[in-house]
Amino acid sequence: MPDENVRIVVFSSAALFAFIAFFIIYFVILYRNRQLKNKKEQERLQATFKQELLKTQLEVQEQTLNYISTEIHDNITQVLSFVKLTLGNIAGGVEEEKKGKVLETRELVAQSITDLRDLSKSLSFEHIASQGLIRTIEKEAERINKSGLIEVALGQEGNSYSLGEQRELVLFRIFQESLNNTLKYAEAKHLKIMLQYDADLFTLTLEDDGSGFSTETLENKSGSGLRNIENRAAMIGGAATINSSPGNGCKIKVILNPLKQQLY
Amino acid sequence: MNIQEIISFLLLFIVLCIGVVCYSKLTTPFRLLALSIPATLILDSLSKVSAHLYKTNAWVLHLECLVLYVFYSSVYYHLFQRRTTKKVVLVLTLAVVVFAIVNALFLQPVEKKTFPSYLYLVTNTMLVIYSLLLFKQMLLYPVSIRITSQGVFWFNTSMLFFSTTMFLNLGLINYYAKLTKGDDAIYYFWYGSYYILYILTGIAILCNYKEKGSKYA
Repeated sequence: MPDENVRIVVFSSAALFAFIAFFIIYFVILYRNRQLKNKKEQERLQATFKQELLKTQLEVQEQTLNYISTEIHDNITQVLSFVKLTLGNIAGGVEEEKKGKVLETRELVAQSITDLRDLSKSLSFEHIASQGLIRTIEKEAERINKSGLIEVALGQEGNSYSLGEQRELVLFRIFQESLNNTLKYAEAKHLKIMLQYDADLFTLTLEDDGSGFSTETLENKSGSGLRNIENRAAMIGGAATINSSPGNGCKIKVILNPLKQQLY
Repeated sequence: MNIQEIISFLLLFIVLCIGVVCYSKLTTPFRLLALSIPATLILDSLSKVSAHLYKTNAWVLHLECLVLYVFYSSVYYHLFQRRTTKKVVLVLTLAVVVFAIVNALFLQPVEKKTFPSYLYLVTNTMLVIYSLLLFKQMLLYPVSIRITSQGVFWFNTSMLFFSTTMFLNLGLINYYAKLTKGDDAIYYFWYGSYYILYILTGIAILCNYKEKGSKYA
């Protein structure tokens, strides 16, 4: 009887041990496969992110070049042409008039030098990295206000913190894209920009009082600039919401958890 | 004390030392796991003393089963990521505490020196379920660390192993008690289960000590 009992215990315990061992081995294999799959997915995401980042850098650069070209054409060239004309007419005048014209030309040249200096410090991705997002947006808002195209009001809530070079670059590109849309299509008079820095949430809001559009149109245009805004926000682990309706302006909101670890 | 008990205490003591040395660098769930070792050591010692003095250790077994369940479920509480699962663990722990009191007073009364088999069955069933849920969570959110270097894997394996073998132990122990006199086969298996639990717990603590910062840790 005891022998038989020992046999029963040995058999049942061996069966149980074997079953648990099989389960654990199966789990380890499954887990390893998941790890490999995740690693591949992460590599793919990293590659996509790098590509997108490069694209964003190029777009910011292109935007900067456009801005520089416009500034040179509309401002500096005009001023210098005026200076040339003034200097051309200086020969045949009275001494007092000559002095006045020289002074005027000097001021214009000084203005052109200041404008050129501003241009040299204009918005490139190196500039965003060194100045930070909020300062760069401030500069851009100043520039737009100066142009008189639209009245921009910039606000900030909470103490600003860095979101990381790459994320700030992407956010700035989102800002540029939104601003371009407002300037090109919205026929807006006012644009409100709000940056909210909470401990675990960053929010960028752009709200205009323009003609607005139906968001259903957005659903159908997968390649539009507004779709790009959504995709870019997702790329940096955030989310963009676009609210608009005809006649009621447009509100673009980008939210981002600054503490969230990214896959890239 | 027989040789099995000496080995059991020795293993507990070694794991206790590992827990003390690593404690400051452990994450919350593994600190709780480390704290469960001195609790086991104290309760096991009390059990021996009680058996010697009063010829029964039933009350200690009632208490030990409950205390260890509370420790293990609080470890799981910290390891689970979903809020709902955490809430379920919390509610079930409270329910088990109530059940343990009812069981000790009415179902398997302490005063009648009854072994708390109902409580063991309930708590081990819960632990098996928690263990399977944690394995599922691990598969859903794998981390880049090698699985055998993850404390959570060893802890969960120890729980799955121990809780399932306890069913076999509890199922066979009464049968053996009736049919055999002094046949120790089932007791070897019983002690074997405990040895493996302590060894795996020690490995889990050591791994967590080395891998602090992983997603589950």
